[in-house]
Amino acid sequence: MSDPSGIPSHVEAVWRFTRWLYGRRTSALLAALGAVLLGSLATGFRIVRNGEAGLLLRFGRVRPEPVPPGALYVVPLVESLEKVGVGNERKLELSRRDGSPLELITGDENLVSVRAQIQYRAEDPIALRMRYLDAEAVLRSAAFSILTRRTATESVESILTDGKVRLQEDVRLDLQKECDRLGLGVRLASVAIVMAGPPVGAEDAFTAVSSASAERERRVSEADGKRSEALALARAEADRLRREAGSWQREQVETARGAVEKFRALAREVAEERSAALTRLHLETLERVAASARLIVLPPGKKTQTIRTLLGPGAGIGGQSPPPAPSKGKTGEELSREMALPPILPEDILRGELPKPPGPNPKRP
Amino acid sequence: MKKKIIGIVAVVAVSALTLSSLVVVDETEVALPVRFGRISGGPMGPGLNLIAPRPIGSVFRIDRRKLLLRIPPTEFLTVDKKNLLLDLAAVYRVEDPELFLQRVRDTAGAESRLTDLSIAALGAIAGRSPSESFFSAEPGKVKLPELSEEVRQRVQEAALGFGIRVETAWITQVHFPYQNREAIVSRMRAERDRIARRLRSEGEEAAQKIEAEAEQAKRLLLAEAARDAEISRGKGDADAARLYAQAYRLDPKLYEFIRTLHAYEKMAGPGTTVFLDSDGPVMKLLTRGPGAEAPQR
Repeated sequence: MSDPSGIPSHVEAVWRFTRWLYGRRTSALLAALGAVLLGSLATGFRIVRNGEAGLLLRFGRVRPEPVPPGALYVVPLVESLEKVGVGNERKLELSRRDGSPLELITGDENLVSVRAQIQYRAEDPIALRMRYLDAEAVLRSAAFSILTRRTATESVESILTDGKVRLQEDVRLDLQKECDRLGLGVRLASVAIVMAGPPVGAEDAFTAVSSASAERERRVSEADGKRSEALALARAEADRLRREAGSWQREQVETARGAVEKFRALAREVAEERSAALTRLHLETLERVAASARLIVLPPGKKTQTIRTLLGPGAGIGGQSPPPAPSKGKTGEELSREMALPPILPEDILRGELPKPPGPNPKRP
Repeated sequence: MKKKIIGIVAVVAVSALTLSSLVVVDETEVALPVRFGRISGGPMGPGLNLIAPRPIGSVFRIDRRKLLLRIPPTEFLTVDKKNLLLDLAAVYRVEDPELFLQRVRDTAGAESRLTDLSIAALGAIAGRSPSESFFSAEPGKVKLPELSEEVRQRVQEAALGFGIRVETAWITQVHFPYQNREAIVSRMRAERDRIARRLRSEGEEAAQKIEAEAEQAKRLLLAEAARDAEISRGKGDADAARLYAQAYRLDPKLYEFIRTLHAYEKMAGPGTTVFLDSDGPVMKLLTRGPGAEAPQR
């Protein structure tokens, strides 16, 4: 699309627009100024987010009311907006600059290693930003001074054991009071002693105490275990003794009862024909004894020599002292009594005239 | 046309003059108007302020926020001759900007003066305080807040002279110097060793006591059982004896006879030798035959 003059059509269009604009130059200038003004005014829109408070400064002076979250318009060149985080909790670590725990002096002149953490919220953004150059540093120093002061009356035992919780609470209350007095605009959520321990160089000695304590517990419970075991065994043993004695008692009684019954039966039998029955019993006994014992029949007239020959000189009989040398003229019966031989049933036994045997006295088990 | 140009120049000049005499003072500061290098009026608060147009006038800005001063650990001697390292922190602010500007010029100057004053005050106060004022098992004796307040007052007196108000002073930390610290650590170690030994011996003592008690209880249990067993056995003996006695009363002679036979039987065993007289009543039948019976009768 080109006309005979050879000028391209788009250059032609620009030229025409320029001429048109020049014809309306005053209005065009005003329109441009208006656009610039509108543009710069448009840069004044700001948004304050949740958890923030906006501080509106007009010519450097802060408006007393913080701007709540939402959109607002800040007049350029006249006003400015500073945003301060208020809702969220902040953490402050109390430790040395290199991050190692603080070392504090306790009331009993010992040392304790402590690491603490403070959680707080900024409630007054104006105070935080406008009244203090570094509110957090002030809070930290205040916390140090209160922690030092509170620890200075505690004992090391208490801080390392059950006093820690109370110490935290004391520090929190004191620190909150101090913050209020200073107008820091800070609300403490918590003060936590996250670590309390022995000072560097004494840890192993403290560990040794706790292991000694554990050892004491172990030793005592071991002894308790031994006691339970020993007592259980003793009770079992005592029970066994009682039971044994009880059954022995019954055994004795039953045996006696049996023997008595047997004797009664015998007595009934013997009542019929006493002499014959006793002879029978005697012979039966002899049979039973002879069944296991060595039996020697002494020939008539040569009893003493026979015994001597059989036993040899100086030999004891049945473990007793050697028999006295039998004198001449002794009867075989006399000899056999002297030698403590089982006596052959004499006539007087049949008449019931034996020397009294030992009473019923069975041996105990 | 000439009038129009003069008008434009006038407008520009007036605006420039106005702009150069306007000062925005921030909320965090205070400004002092200065004319030809000299303070020409009172301090100006935050907002828009008017001064003599530049370059005749200018302002001097001073931070009016509360500032924190930290004094490095310094060693002091207490009245009971204990060396202590004390840390101090102070919150201060410029109260009289004019005086501040004249005497110390800036914050660095002020802080160096304040540090010197604080150390002097702390030294004087520590020098007449016992160490119990810094740490003590008795809560009433620790005087850290009081001592801090005294330091603040002393520093304050001097600091007013250069326009500073000290709001708070804190003794933030108390330490022992290195050598003393070592001595305390070794004392703590010794104490712990003693406690550990005591715990161990306590454990041993308690255990031995328990074991001794157990042994005693065990012996008692067994003795009681033995006593009961004796009683049972005695009863058994007595009952059996009574039964035997009944039998005996029935036919004493027979009883003795039977019992004697029984005893013989018990006495004789496999190792026993029994001599029988061939003339005796048992054997004579064997040795003499049936004829032996007749002549005796």
